[in-house]
Parts: sequence; C-alpha cells; structure tokens
Amino acid sequence: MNARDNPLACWLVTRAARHAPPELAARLEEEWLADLSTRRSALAQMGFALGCGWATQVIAHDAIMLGASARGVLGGQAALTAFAPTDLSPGSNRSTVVMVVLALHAVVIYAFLTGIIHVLPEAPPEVVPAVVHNVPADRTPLTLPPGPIVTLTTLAAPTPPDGPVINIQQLPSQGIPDPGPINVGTGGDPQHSMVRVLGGPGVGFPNTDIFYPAASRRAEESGAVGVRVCVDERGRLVGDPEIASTSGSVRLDQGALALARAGSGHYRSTTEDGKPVSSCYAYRVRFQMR
Amino acid sequence: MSLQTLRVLEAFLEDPADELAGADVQKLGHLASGTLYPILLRLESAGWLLSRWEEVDPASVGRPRRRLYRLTPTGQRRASEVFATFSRGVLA
Repeated sequence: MNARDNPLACWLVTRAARHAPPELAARLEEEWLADLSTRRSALAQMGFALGCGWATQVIAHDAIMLGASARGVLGGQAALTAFAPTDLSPGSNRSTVVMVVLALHAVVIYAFLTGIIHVLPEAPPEVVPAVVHNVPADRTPLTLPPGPIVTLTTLAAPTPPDGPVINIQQLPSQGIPDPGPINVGTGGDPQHSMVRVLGGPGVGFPNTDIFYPAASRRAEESGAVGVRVCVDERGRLVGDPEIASTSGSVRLDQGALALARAGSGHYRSTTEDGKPVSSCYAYRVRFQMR
Repeated sequence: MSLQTLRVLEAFLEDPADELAGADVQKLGHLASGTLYPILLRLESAGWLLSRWEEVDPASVGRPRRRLYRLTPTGQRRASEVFATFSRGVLA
C-alpha cells in the first residue's frame, strides 16, 4: 500500500514534522514519509503517523536540552547519557507512571461525583430516648412512682472497678400512663398528632464520678436522687435544679444538684415534632459504691 | 541508558558496517515510531550514529529516498562496551 493512498496518515506525518524544531522539520518530514511508505497496511501507517506526533514532542524537548548543551550546560556526550534514561515514549516507565497518576485522579474524581466517597462524614448517631408523649412541663414536685425506671442513657464515664457507681436515669412523668400521640390545636387538622421527645443529660455532660461526695464515699453511702431541671431549647438550665426525690442523704442530694448545675449547656432539650423546646423534666442520679 | 536505546544499538551491532533506515531499525528492534526517532536523533547528536540521504532517484525507484543511519567508530566502540558491561557476570 502506497503512503499516498492514505492521505490522513500523510497529513499526520507532515503535521508532526512541521511541529519539530525548524532545523529538523524538512528532514523529518521527508524521512518519515519515506518510512511511512514501507508500511503495508493502513492500520500500520496510522500507527506510524501517530507515533511521529509523539516523537515530535520528545524531539522538541531534546532540542531544548541540546540548546543547553550547546551553551555549555551539557557536553555532547553528556547529552546522550542525560537524555537516554529520560525516555518519554509511550512504553517508557515515566509515561506509564504519568498515565497511572492520571488514571487514579480520574477514578477519585469519578468516585466523588458518583457518591462512592462521601466528602463529609456522617453525623454520629444520637442516642435518642424512648418517645414520651404528652409529658407535662409543670413545676409541681414530682412523686416518683414505684414502677420500673426507664433508663435512657448512661453518661457516666467508665467507673474504675473499685470506685463508686453513679447512674443517671430518666424518670417517667408522674406515673401517668402513656396516652399515645396527642392531638394539638383546635382549628387545624384533628388527625395531627404531636410527638414529644423528652430531653435528658446529653453529650458532654460532666463526669459524674467527681460529684460523688468524698464524705459519702468514705462512709460508703449510696442512694438515688431525683433531680428536676428546666432546660431551654439549647440545653441550658433556665432555673436552679430542684430535688424531686431525696436519697435520704443531704450530701448525696447536694452532689446531685452540683452535677445538675455543672451540666448546664449539655442537656438534650425536649423536642416537639423534632423541634427543640424549653421544658422541665426529671432524671435520677444513683450514687453507689462498687 | 534505556532499554529502547539498547535495542536500537543492538540492531546496528548485528552488522556494524550496514546502513539502516529508520523503518529497518523499527522492525529489528520492535520499537514504535514515537520511541525510535528521538533515540536516533540523540545517538546522532552524541556522535554514535551518522546519517545521510539515500542516493537514489525517487522517480526511477518509485519511492522516496530514505534516511540511512550507521554506527560511527566511536558509536561502535561505545555500544560494544555497553553490551560487554551488561554481559558481565552472566553465565554462558
């Protein structure tokens, strides 16, 4: 197959040669067209022509280095030894590394775009207490029911084996049975039920160990204190905590109150339909020697 | 010195007195055109190769004239040294 029968390959070779350094352009064009004519198939001719385009890039790079050589930066022999390992041909190690790096970039960008990789970590799951419906928020003293205590979360740091045990437990509302979802509003949708989730000690609540009164530890005094707090929608106390049920020990009661005060800003506020609201609720602090 | 350059030199060392066109070296060394021609130019600029135009009449032979390359005495000596270096320690 004559090279003239493949005008596209001839055009590619001519174009590649003309992008070579001017002193080499005419020579390379004639040389490459002559060598192109020795290729038998159109496919081989196209491969040869495309390779000439790559060769032009490398030759242009070499010409810059040879210019440095002519200026004395590199000697003639040094030019060979300097250039030879710097092989930019498609099969060289350097071009392979470049291609691998580009491919990795493409994969990472694709992963971001398709959501395989999440840019932001997901928020840690919040410990949500059991849903409590229709919890009254009045400030009347609580009387603790004798029934089981619903444990919402244990916020105390891990207690040393020989140290005291302080449990914080959520107290139910005054023994009122769960009435289920309640209807709110008078003129609106009568079927709408508001879900009210009671608050409690939240993330960052103080370590309860340090509030175990030292005198009580020495006396191995234990007991449970019911504490009632009023908290705004940002988890801050809006009033002084009160004792809802005494442990029988003034020291333990004071320790529980101190703990309740120190926890201001770290309470989880009550939510109504997911919206934080101000509310009052009680929880129990249990001081117990292990 | 890259493996591709060694292949080019090996093609010339098969018959150091022979003159080869780029297409011939490409076939002997199994190299792509994008690899071969920069190497030929580097070797030529380093004085290892010498090139000239084929002295034929393109009209009479029916093809363009080719650029022919051959090893210079320096190139032949240096290329032989390179291969001798590589063959050291290899069991025969």
